[in-house]
Amino acid sequence: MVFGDPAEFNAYKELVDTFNAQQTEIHVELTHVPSPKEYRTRLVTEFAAGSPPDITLMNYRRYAGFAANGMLEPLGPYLAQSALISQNDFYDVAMDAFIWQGTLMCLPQNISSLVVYYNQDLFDAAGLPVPPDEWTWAEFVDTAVALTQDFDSDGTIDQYGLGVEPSLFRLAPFIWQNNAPLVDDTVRPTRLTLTRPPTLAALQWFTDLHNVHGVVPGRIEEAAQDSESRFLSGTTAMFLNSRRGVPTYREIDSFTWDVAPLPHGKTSAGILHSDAYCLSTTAVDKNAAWSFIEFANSEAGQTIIAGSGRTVPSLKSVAESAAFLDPTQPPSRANVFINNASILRRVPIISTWQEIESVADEEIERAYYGDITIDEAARLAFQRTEEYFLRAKTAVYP
Amino acid sequence: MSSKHVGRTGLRLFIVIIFLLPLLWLIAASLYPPGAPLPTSLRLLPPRLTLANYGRIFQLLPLGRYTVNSLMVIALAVPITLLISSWAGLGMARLPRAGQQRWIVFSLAILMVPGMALWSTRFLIYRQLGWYDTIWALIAPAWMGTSPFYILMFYRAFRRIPAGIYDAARLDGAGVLQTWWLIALPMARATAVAVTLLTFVLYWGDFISPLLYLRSGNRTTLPVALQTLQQLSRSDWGVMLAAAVWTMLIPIGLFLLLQPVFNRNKKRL
Amino acid sequence: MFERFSILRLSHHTRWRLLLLPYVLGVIILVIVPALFSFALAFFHYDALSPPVWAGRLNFVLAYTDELFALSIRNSLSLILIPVPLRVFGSFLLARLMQRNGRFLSWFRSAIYLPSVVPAAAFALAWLWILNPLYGPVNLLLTAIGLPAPAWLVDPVWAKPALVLMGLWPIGEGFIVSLAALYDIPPELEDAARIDGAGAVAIIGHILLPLTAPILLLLTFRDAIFTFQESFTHIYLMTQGGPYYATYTLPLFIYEQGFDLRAFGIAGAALWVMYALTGLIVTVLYIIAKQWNVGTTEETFVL
Repeated sequence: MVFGDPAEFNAYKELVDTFNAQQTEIHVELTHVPSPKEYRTRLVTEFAAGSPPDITLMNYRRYAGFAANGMLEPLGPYLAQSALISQNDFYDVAMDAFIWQGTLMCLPQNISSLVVYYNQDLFDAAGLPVPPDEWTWAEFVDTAVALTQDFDSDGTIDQYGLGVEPSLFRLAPFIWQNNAPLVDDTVRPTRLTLTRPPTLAALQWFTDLHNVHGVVPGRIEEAAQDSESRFLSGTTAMFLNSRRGVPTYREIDSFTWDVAPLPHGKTSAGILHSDAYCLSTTAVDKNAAWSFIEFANSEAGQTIIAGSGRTVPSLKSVAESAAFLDPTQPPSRANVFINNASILRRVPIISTWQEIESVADEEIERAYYGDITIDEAARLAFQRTEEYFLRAKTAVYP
Repeated sequence: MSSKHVGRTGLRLFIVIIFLLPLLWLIAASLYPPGAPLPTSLRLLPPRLTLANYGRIFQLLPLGRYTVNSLMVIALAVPITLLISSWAGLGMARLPRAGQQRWIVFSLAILMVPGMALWSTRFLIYRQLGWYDTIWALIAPAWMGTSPFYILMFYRAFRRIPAGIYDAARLDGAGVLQTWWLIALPMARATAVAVTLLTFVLYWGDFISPLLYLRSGNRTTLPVALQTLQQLSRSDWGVMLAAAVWTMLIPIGLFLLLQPVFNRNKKRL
Repeated sequence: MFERFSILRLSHHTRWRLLLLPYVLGVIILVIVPALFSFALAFFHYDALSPPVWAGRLNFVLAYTDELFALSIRNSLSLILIPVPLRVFGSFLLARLMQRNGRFLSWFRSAIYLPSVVPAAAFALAWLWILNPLYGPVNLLLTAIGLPAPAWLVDPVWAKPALVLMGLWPIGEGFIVSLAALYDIPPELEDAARIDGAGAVAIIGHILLPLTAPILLLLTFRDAIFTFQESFTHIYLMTQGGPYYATYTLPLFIYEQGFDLRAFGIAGAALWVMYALTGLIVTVLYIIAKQWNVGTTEETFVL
């Protein structure tokens, strides 16, 4: 079971078809759920009923709840015996995210991260150089300001410099770049630390994008047409997203686009985005299921998915191959993702992280749109998430 | 024609336009050329009409297949619902008075059960019955007449038939099923039409069941496709609204088809 | 021809009762058993992944102390108490307007019913567009005639009115039931009143409303249950309870507790509350109907 838009779905379909054509004993059937929210509903219903799909693709922020309840079969032992792939073939930072109580729980397919997508035509039109490989927060904001324009001076902004989702997950890398903590303990967290001054400063900078600089759409503008659509229609110059957007952006033919790294604050930091193949304990033929996971994460399998543009392959060999760095297809600066690998950090692996994010997001969004102060947002986010930290199970032994 | 009469027709026309306006806006918006900037001033029709969005929805999703799936659900669910609910309605109408009251209360109590109390637990039952991931999971409620509401509708209709007619049928040697088919049902035609329409709309628009009880994408139905498009292209209004129009074409068509029957019998629902 | 099916030698009365059998079996399997499971979970800790653990009344306490729970009940009540009377009274007035003969009357009536056959998902998408704060036709119209344009579903103050507003379109059922009720009133009554000099408003207020009151009341009851449960679909698709809980209702609370937080125990406790609230609404309306003393006989039973 996977989720994603049609372009992504087609890539998985090709992967499954190739696998099914290769051998006759095992037949894999692909289930596709369009949105992450419904994906979660489906997973809960099916796990609750004791009949989840044998293999599910899960984000590292989400698998912990299932792992903590013993619903997932550790893949470490399978990987150790594989003749096709081995632990060392993969990027450590992606693998580490899926180590649950000492063993590899799920096998990551990708090592994506948050980057800046930009519309090169708009940069050219404004006479600005494209974002360099290294730039600061101030340069980032200045660029966004210069690209935010009201062409006909009617008081309505016609082109925004930037689009970013006001969420904890988007904010997190900027917190780290400010040398500030997101949680009190990255391994055994007990609270969000948004209230600490350096973290608060990052939140201030983040919300200033809207409240002070006005380089991003307001709440009403965002609801009327979201930032990603504005980017797609050429009315937003920069958009923050992971690799996920690429299959859709490749369909753009009205302008040239590319990717640049996030700016850096006091330090450089990126945020890991990674999904992994997980095996359910209820799977009847686990070896058969594993052979599909193995195939999907072999060079052949990852090459197929990478060809769609969807993933930054977790296999080093595929990530450095033409399948990923394909010079004929945008983004031409795909190595930005690979360079990121060394500075990636991740949110904590705890069973209630999804809940913590969704509550914190609500408060961050309110601060971002100026409904409440950042102090209030930080305090509310801390208070409202406390109970989830109390209930959480962590990736390390208690 | 008095001026009062004209005034009343005018008022009626005005109200009707207000009721149709959302649908007209919807259709107009679906005819915008893809990629055109969103309108910033009011106009009923886009500057250039195109069906391009309709082409695009069929490219994005196998909408033809979903439409067939939806139609299959209807083809099974509507007749089964009519059968079960009219039987139960008739059975209720033929009970002694006290029995009828008890069944009304029972049906009301069932009607009050919140739908979400059933979502996850029905899942277990469907799996036991082997209905999970089949069309039977989507039409399962039809086996209880879909909703106690429809049973009560039939009950009401059958109550209106004088007891003497049932007795006469019995004296003529008609059995229960014969009485139902040859006497009761024809006299409750308006109710049957109404239940058909309501059931149709219900199953056609159901998106919770396919979401929860189907695993294979190729068995899914139109409302889920709408959801998919909404998630995929959140601000690509042309595509979403074209799909919305496509989804409502068939129920609206059916309604207009049934409209004469519906109007003639409106009084005796 | 159907006699062949009646192989069993049963009394005539029992055979009538047998017609109820599929319905009862269906209800037991598809409603009663699954509902009892869900309701029973209110007394357990259950996260769908590990086995249930007895919790006594703790889930009720947890729900009771959850601010969002109280908020969801308040929102639910206001999304019933305001739109339902509007819908019922509105459909009554429309039925009155469309009662007497005139040109194209049957087409006019069909047009009123038309929005009611649109699937909920399509309806929700359509209204997301219509109420789009910047590009939607409603706000473009308001701006064009010089009125302020609210942000509707995006604005915490206007989100609820927006849901109420869009709920005024699919009222086909109420419209038809009211129409039938109006036809049941002998026209002589109205004619007599008119001869006595009663105006249109007086006729509605003194004759039509009192005579159709029991039916309108039962319609209200039906609509209240319907709105309580069905508002979920629109809210889920359009606002997800937002902006910042402005449209967060009890069904949404139950959904989130169950499917997002996997706290099926708390969801079960909230289900009890929802059932009790529905029961309360029904009882109040039943008592009022009983006062009128006509509404509960099967002849005027409009459900």
